[in-house]
Amino acid sequence: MTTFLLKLMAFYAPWIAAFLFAFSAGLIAFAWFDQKKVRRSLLLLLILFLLLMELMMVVPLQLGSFANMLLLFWAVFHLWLMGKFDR
Amino acid sequence: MENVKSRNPYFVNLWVDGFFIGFLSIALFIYFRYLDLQGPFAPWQWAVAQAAIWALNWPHVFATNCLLYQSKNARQQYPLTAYVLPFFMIALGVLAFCSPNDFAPYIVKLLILWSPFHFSGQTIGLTLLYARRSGINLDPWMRMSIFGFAYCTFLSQLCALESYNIDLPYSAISFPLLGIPKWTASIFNSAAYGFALALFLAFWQLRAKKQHLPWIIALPLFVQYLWFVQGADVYSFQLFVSSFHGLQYLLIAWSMQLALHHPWPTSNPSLFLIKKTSLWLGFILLGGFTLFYLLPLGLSHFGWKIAFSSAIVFAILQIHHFFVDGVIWKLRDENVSRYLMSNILELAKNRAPKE
Repeated sequence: MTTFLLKLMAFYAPWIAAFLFAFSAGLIAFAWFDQKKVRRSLLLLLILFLLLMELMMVVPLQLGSFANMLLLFWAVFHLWLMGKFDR
Repeated sequence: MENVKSRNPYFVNLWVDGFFIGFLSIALFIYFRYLDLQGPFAPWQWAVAQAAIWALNWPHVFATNCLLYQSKNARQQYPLTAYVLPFFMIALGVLAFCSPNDFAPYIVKLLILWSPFHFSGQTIGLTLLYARRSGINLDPWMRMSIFGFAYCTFLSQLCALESYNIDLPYSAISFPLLGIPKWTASIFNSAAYGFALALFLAFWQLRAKKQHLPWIIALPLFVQYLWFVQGADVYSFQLFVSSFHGLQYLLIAWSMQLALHHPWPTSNPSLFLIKKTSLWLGFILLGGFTLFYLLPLGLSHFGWKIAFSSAIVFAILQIHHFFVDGVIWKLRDENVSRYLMSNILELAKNRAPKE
């Protein structure tokens, strides 16, 4: 079962990665304008978790150095965003 | 540029502040760059670097937790950081322990990305703090140059590292580098020099206007330059960078800790200072040792290798520290900035920290 799931995930990895990117970008936009401190901070934690997932999905795909460069700056942007946590 | 009331720029005095903020970094840089004949990674260097991590880096992480959890005010002000974040970090830790090959490398990757970013944040914070203590209001251009310089030096080193397309070992865990184009590092390197030039010109203009500019304001930036640019390929020096960061932090946390106890008893303030300092130091040394050594040791009895459990615990604790640190040191917060304006020698004379 686990092997089947892993194979399935590997097959769909580019789509899963694309979904994660779109989802986290949407959440970032939502958190950016969110006025409720508690919800915003929880969203930022979720966004950090999504970043970890994105790294896990994208890096093994070996999409090329340019895609990895975008991923690196996306990751650094997340770190900056985490400075907004619990303000 | 507007002058505000001039204050004592130092937490203690020029020599003590200088030692904690940068003199030691500069001295070791000179030694490892120009005088070290044994080459990188001689056994004694590993031993001294490890001892420095035990004595400086681990306690500084624990000191952050003390600042957050010892004050009911801080806990109430930052409830998510105080009460939710630990569970989030524990969940990440559990995932890493359950998935050593698939998830753990990315926790380490996050630590490797975040550490230098965090160090840069402290460099910026210290520069702004010393400027404020010196009574200098920085205009938006100067602030932008400070931020730009600090972040570009960090990005220059990070991009240089990430330009390799290999797996790098971190204790018992290998994490992937990204293999990005090499020219990215050169761009950030050049940008850092551009920001440095802009800052130099701005400081020069202030001097021309007879503005008193203590050089300690520029010391954190200069040290950052050694850590991430000039010393980036001095491998023995790099072993000590996290300890230098801890050393800087300990000066501020120690000063904050003493300011929180103001007013001190009028009889024998020196004895009070020694007692409080010893207690605090002993507590954070013990706390750091427990979290970073005893905890992984305990986990290793459940079947994981100590090198693996150390790497995960270290990453989780450090990332937690990055979050907490980003929250509790807000200069905009009046309580925080008031205590950060204290001077130990003035506290001993029972003068309150200035607003």
